Amino acid sequence: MSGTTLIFGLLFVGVAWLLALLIDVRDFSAGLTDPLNLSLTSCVFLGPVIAGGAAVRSATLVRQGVLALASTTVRGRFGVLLLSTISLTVWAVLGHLSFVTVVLLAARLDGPAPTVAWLLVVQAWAFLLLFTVIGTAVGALAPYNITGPVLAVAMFVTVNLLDLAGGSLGRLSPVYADIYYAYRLQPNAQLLAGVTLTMAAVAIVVVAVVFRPVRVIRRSLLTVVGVTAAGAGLFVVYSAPEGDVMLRRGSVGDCRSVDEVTLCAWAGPRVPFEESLQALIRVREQAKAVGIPVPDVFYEPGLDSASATARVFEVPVVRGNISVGPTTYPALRAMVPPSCGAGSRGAADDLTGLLAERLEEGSVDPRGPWAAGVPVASEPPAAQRRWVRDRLEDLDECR
Amino acid sequence: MSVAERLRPVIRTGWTATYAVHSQLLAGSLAIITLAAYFLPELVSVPSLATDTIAQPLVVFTSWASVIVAVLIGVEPSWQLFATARSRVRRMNLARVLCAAALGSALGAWPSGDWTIALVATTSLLGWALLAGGLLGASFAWCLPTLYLFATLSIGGTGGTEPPPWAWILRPDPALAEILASMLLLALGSTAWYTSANSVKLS
Repeated sequence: MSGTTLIFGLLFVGVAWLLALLIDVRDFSAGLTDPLNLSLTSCVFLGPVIAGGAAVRSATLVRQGVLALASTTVRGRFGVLLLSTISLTVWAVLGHLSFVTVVLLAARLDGPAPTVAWLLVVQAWAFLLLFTVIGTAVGALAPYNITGPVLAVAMFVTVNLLDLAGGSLGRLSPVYADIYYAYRLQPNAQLLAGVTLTMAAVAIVVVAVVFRPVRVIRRSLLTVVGVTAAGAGLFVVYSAPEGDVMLRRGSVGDCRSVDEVTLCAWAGPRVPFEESLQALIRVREQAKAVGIPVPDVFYEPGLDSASATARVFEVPVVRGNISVGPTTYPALRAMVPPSCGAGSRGAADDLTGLLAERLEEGSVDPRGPWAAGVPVASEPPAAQRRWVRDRLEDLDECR
Repeated sequence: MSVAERLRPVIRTGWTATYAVHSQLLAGSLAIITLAAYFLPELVSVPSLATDTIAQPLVVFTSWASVIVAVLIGVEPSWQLFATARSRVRRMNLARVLCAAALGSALGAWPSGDWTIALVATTSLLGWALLAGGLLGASFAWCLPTLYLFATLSIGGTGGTEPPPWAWILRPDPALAEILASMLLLALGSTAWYTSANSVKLS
């Protein structure tokens, strides 16, 4: 069996390495977070297969009578199953490390590298540990040939369903497959820590219940530790801030000015300063003309605002060489005072629509709630200013 | 009476019992595959790194299931004894695996008529399975096709809606080169499986 485990492990590492070579990472944002998130996503296909492999290995131990024989020794079946789990977990982590290494070598790392991003790797290891433990346990309980592939499929389906599930169940998802981390975003550290702790705790509980430790460590003690840790992990998960991603926090950032307008963004090579500033200047002129109070300073979310009147400007996301989203839309949104409820949101949409009409850019994309057009745009300037004043009064509630 | 002659009925009984279990497994699996192919929608949506979900033909999944069942019924009760059998018996083992996979994938492709996709998916996945069986033993034969399928479903769409060349089983309209590549993979896998059966590596 050790020979089989060795070849299985080497094959696993080789395939993980090969898959990492085949993946195109050019569309990722520059920085560490997207590649490390991809390494966590790789567990969606590496994890179920290592679980199935662990099930086959422990099923073989049962069928060959090794577990029964081991039960007569000091360490008992616990020692054999634990050794099997450890050896396969080591191979799984080595496979994952080879994947991470290749992806990091291929990625552009000249972007943000928040320390919290490394929690994605820790979570991946907890994921692989849990899947190996579950595989070993299931194989020992159901020692059939079909157990491995059926378990692998069940795990794959479960992980994907958790990833797709929203709400409170979705918070337990061990992967974040459809998330790209823009410059201003980083993983939700508390959520990652909670999910990692929960997975490790569930692994401990499975070891205590199925591996049945004797003499080495008290089974009841291990169960209590596991259940307590799982409870703590769930508490951390559900007390974590909403969302799989969080805003990075930083100081002023990289600021550029044209005419009177200043834009501060997260430092990095991807910011389309020229286009963003030109869009802000064009929209700002229209806003001033109809009496909307306009600031001089705009900043990217997560940065400290340079002044009390500064407004948020969402710099278009750039992946690779492709700018995702035009600059006019965030400029329109930045120029209207923020809303705080259904009524004020309608007022903000009205103002955004008027500015879009005045820009004579019917093709502002994405088209917002004003797509049907704002009739007041064809009225005289005085009427437009009165109309704007009414809506600004609605938005004053949000100050 | 020699030892071999005395063991022969015991061995025959063991083999018959195993083949009876394999027949039940094959019949049950084929029934499930057929029902799934008829009653599930033609496309199955799976999450992807590139987009929220990617719709894939159901026939890819039924082909995978057929391959897994095929390699499971290819497991012999004792590879040590099997290795001493005549080469005709070992060829029969390989033929049984190939026929089971072909039958299962044909039943899976029947409702949708995606014969080309089924051909490419089955030959590729079976090639991986037989290769893994030859390298790791028959009980691990499922791992390479499963890893390949899961990887293609999870990250095979990265960079656009068109699958990259390495995820050729997901292509809705496979090119001749992809069909030939999958055939080559099957030939390679069959050789590995047959050779390993000869040298008891499949145990």
